[in-house]
Amino acid sequence: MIEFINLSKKFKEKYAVKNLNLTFNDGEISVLIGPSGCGKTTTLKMINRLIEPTEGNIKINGKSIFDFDEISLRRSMGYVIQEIGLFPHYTIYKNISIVPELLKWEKEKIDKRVNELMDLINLPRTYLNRYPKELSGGEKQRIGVARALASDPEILLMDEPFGAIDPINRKSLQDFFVELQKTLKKTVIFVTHDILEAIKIGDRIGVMKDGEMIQFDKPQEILKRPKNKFVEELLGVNRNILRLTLSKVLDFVKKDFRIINKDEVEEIKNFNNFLYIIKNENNYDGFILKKDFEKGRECIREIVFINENENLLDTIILLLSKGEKIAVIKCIERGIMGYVELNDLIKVFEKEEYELSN
Amino acid sequence: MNYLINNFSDILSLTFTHILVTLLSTLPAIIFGVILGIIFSRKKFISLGRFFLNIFGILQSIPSIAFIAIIFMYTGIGIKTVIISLFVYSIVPVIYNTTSSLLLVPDEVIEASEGMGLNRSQILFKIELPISIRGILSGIRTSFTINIATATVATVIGVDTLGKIILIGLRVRRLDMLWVGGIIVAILAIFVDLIFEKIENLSLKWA
Repeated sequence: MIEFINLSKKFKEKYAVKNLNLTFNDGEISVLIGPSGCGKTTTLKMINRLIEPTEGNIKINGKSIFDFDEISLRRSMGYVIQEIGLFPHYTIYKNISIVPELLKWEKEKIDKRVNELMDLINLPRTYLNRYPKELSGGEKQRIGVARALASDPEILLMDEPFGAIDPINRKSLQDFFVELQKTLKKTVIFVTHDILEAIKIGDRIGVMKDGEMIQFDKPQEILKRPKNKFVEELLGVNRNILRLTLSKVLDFVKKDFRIINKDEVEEIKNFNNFLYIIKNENNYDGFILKKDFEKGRECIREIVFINENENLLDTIILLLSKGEKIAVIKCIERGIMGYVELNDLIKVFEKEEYELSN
Repeated sequence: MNYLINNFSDILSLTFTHILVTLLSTLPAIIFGVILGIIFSRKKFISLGRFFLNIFGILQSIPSIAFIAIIFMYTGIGIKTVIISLFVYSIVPVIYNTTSSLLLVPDEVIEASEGMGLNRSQILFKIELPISIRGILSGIRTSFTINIATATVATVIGVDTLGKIILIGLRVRRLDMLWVGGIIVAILAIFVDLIFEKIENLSLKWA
């Protein structure tokens, strides 16, 4: 648990951070968001004393940060920054293992941990002998995250970690991080200026302005009840749409389907499901609706696959952009889990909007 | 060619003195240069560094023969004068390259190191110096090459280096002596250059 007690930072005579009193819960991702200059990065850097607070205190599990020496305080937390800052002269292996080495872990333990982390961040172990410049931006930031997790710290500080990555890779990094957090359950303080990102990954969002905390709440609450005009503007005109990112597509799954082999297509008339997914050895050829079957084989449509953690907004966008009305949920471990219909998703959206306007 | 064969042992001893003078002046220049370069790259000392580099720069723009003559007026004849002058000449590129390469280490790399809990000396020795090694080595290389050439001038104040062959050759108009003197100095310089090229390549797998 991280507590801020009357925490302030002055640069010269100006307050960069003003009298924060907050508690960050264990195992949660708390996102700090606000326009540039609002003090979010300063706040983050006070936690590991890269910036010394002017007034007030920060307690970690009840112990003041001033009771730690700053070096061991920092080694006890992971730190990830936007510019990544991998060490260009070290291999990926050495980059990841730097903190365990400083902590004088044994060689075998480091070896084991590094390999474990590569599996965790889903990069091949062959990368370990490479140098940072041989990796893409997204891969580098995965290594950045692995490096921060190396000594398995309880707390992870992340300063706009995905801010410099292109949109497509950013989305996959966000998905990856949300997944990762499910198993890791770290206490994460995450700074961003991207409201979509905040809503997507935050268990709690702190909206900051001019060094002050305007609202610190769950994403649903912030979206439903923005405290003032500033928060409302930060959420933007798409506030209602943004709420769709909070619902998971799995809540709308339908199971009225059957997987059939390619040569079974003719037998559909004997079955009674809404939808048939046509399997061809290890691949899927497409799907066909029972009602369309009589019209013949040209009614076989290409499948839009989504993963089971996808949110409503991304699914709707994907379906609209592909011009399809049905998406099939495919889970890596469990295979095909069902399908969702665009109409159902849109109805939810209408309902959400209704709730909000009341 | 005859000259070379007939005076082989003399030439050998001149070459030896030449190398000795070069080493005695360049090695301290490297040590002090790198240390000063590190100090001047620290945030607190950047302006001080600029000031010193300017002074050294002005000293360096005095022609070497004049500079040695000036130092000679203070310290008299002998190897001491030569070494002081060569030291001043060769320390500038070392400081300059060390400071500027250290300042080129990306800020985010330093920030990441601090954030992960490396202390100052770990950041310097594990991160900053290894990343800047190429620039630092190239400063050292320049300083060596400068001194190998400048050491010839030592002859004018009585320290017999390879400059002696050239000086005498000039006085008695012996073209072969001029060639021999010039070429040996050139060979020394090229040799040092090659060694450094090898070292630099070795240190740069990652770039």
